Amino acid sequence: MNHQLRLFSIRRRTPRCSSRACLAALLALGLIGAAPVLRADEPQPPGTRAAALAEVFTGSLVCKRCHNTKDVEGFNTAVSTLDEYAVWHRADKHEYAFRALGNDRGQRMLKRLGHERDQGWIDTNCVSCHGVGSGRKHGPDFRQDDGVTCVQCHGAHAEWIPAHGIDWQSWRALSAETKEARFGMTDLRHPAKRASLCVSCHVGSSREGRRVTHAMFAAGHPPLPSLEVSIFLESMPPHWRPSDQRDPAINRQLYRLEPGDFEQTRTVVVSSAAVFHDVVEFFGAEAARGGAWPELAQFDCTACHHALTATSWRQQRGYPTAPGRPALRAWPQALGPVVLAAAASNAGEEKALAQAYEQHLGKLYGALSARPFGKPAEIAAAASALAAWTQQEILPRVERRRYDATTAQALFARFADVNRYPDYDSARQLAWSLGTIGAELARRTRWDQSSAFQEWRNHVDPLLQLELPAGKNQAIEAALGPWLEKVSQFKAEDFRKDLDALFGRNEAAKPKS
Amino acid sequence: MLVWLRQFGPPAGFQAPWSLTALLLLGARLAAAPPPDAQPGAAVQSTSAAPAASSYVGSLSCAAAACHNRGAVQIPKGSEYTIWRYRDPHAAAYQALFSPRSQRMVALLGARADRRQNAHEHALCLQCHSDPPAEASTSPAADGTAMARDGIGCERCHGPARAWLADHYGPTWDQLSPAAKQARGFRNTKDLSARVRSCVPCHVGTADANVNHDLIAAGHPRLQFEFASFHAIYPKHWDPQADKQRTDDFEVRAWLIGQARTTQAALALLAARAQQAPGGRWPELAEYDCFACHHSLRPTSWRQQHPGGDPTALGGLPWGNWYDSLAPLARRGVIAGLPADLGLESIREQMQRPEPDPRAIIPLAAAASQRLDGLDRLAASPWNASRLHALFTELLDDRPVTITPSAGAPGSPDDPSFNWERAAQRYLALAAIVHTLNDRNEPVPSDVRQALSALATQLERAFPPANDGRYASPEWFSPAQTHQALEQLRGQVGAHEWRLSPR
Repeated sequence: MNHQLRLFSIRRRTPRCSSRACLAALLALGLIGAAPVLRADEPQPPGTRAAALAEVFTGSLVCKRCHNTKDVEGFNTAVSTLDEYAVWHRADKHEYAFRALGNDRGQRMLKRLGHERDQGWIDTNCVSCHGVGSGRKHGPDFRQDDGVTCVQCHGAHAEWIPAHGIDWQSWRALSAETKEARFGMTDLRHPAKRASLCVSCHVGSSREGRRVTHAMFAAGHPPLPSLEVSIFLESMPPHWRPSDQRDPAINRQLYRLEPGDFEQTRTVVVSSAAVFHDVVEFFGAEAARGGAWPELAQFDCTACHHALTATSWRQQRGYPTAPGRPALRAWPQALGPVVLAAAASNAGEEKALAQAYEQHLGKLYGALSARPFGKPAEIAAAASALAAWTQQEILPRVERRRYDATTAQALFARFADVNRYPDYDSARQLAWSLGTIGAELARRTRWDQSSAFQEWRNHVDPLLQLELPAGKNQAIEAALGPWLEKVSQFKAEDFRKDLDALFGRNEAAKPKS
Repeated sequence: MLVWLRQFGPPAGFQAPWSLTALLLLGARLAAAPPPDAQPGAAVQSTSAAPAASSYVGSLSCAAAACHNRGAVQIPKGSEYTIWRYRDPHAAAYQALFSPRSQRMVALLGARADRRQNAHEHALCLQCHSDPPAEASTSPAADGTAMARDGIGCERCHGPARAWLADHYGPTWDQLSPAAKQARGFRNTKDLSARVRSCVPCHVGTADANVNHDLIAAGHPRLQFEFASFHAIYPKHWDPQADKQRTDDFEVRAWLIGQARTTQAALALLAARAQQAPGGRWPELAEYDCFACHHSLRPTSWRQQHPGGDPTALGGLPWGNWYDSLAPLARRGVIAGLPADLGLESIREQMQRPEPDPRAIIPLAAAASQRLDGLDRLAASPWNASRLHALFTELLDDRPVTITPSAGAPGSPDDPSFNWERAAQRYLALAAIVHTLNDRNEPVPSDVRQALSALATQLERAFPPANDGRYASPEWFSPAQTHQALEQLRGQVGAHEWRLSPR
């Protein structure tokens, strides 16, 4: 009980829940009345995920009560900086997500789609990503205007919120799996889980009913950029510490990071694999859904949406399908060779994995070649097989792997083997990923490629517009024109030249056909 | 073709993606029924298992100096072969198959599976870039290869010559009726319909000569045929005045009949593509408006101006609108005798579904094609000045076809179906009328001429410059500006009281 009182009785500069009255209020709201008893780790049967727990979306003001100010005396901040809400509220675009629906573009979209006053439609199709839909159970302090709030990422369950704050020492002793399975707090330190969460809105999720349709794009929804998780996290901005500022014990226990591990590199590689898995799964699930096919938004935007030119780098590159058949998004595959290298422990294993990858991918492209936009049943089958293979063979391997300095260097070098004719989104994925790994190498090692790397960045940034309109000061609307201009002007050979220069390759090397 | 009014060639926006020599091709497979005394298997769909000797003799047979190769290119009569050989892009059609683009196409299309390594050996390419492969291989000419090297030779338009070669320089030839000549396989190229029907098998396509989206993605220029303008810039191996002397309203007639026969060919091709649907090329993407997809993304676009539009059509694939220029004129009863409903809207409705049903398309295409059959008669009555003025005005008043009447105010800048292709076809029609007025020595006020020229310039400038030539997508097209140009024309025409006789 001591811990509980301490939590709620210390006077603070900023108002907090500082009295028993507040505690009583929380009890009354039933939030902590049945505070689950925290026990040390118990083995959980597999599959006992938070589905059994009650889903309820509390508002961010509940979190604000404790997470609004840094470094409060008497509070252990080994894990949490305690000012996450403050950072998020100040700078994170997720908070604006719901209000964005009311801006000019949003309103024009609704008008064009003919759903101006259709709250039900808006709820299903917009608020599914831009906030918390009205079909969800709302907890204390819930406000629609808060947009994409804390619990949407950290877990929308009543059980963990009081548990993690009241008896934090016992809470700290629990493993991430237990926290998730018994209390419903999403393990966001797990790179693959975190990436999947991002994908579910930033690309889409069939299961969650999150999809931007082509009609919505045609009506004015901005194109969805490719998702490179390390950069997106960096742009949020992070409301958590980087690994080198964390207690090594916490790193080990919660983040599964040893001293000398390169957290950013791990994020890049594991996220890439997880995003690939989820996007392929999404593609297949949408095909399997029934209903009208093709849903054009499932296909690669710039495969169609490019102005025709006399000489075309696409014709130079060739096509993974028969020519002229639209294919799925290419950018999740951009880091293929790098991920395969990370997954394998030796050259033989890498070759075997690469062959299996090509085989599965080949089936998917075969389904897409069978006729324009493919046959949905074939696509569903091929996509689900590819996703399952990735889940079984690639994800466990890349998650298990240690990402130390040597690995980071080796993986950096493997970027020389990527597709020589990436489209804009793939090029940006490559640039972002390479940028993150290179920056970590430069920061943590005496890296001999530092200056070449910097020069490469200087070339690539104006070509691709690497900076995202992040935070609350940069509007997506304002950045849209310049960004799309870069997309339309993009030529694969320009990116390739810079990449070749970085890796000291002969520029006369023949392009892969 | 936009600047035809100024007697230039096609604008760079057209030329850039096309190899010049691949542009103008003459087809021979369509209209002519096989002459009754022809060798079996000649000049028909060659699916016969054992092809008999062909009726083709090869263009060299026309090339005697005393016959058609006199060498005086200024005087077509007697120098037809010379002109064709040295000026006509059709003669170089075969050579186009050796270009890097052609080789790249074959590589991309996986044509190696056919064991045809090269474009110049591939039946699909040879179908339009030389004499038909079956004919070449069985021709009594020296060898098939020699014939293939002719490119599109004389017989592709004039008909396979075996049965009429010896007769046509004889004393009685000129007394024969066109029908009698036709019976020997000699095409009546003086007849406009027959002339168009020579062009469209290659320039639009057939089941065997199908420039579909696969080919275009591999590098083949898009086929975008308009008879009157192509004919106008074609290096003729006959005296162009001969056409005009036969009918002084030649240009407008060429436009009208050209549009009709081209549309029919397009419908036949659509039906052929629908027939082949089980083979895996359906929906055929080349049937749709290229630029509806092939444009760069922008923060906002005129395509999104859709105030009262049909939300279900938002972001869908619009069926191609290059070949349906006659539909709005028919709807408004401008050309007497042409049915008001050409049947194109029902095709559009089917094609614009998420999964268009090919079995529904085939009868719809046949029905629509039939409605255009009688146009020769309709076009026959003379086009005098007042009729031309009236047509000109009707074209300006014409509102583009939209799938739902409520979509924007029709013809307004808000109408998303008013795109570059519709505007370009409109211009070409107006230009044909002006040329006819010129030919008839009727006055065309200079401000009308200037306004029309301004419209052409605007349409041409829709293609921005790119690093390696021009864009082939009209990225800078603005419906609002084009509407303005049309408004200006309307104003001029109204001022000169061209809105004359009733329809």
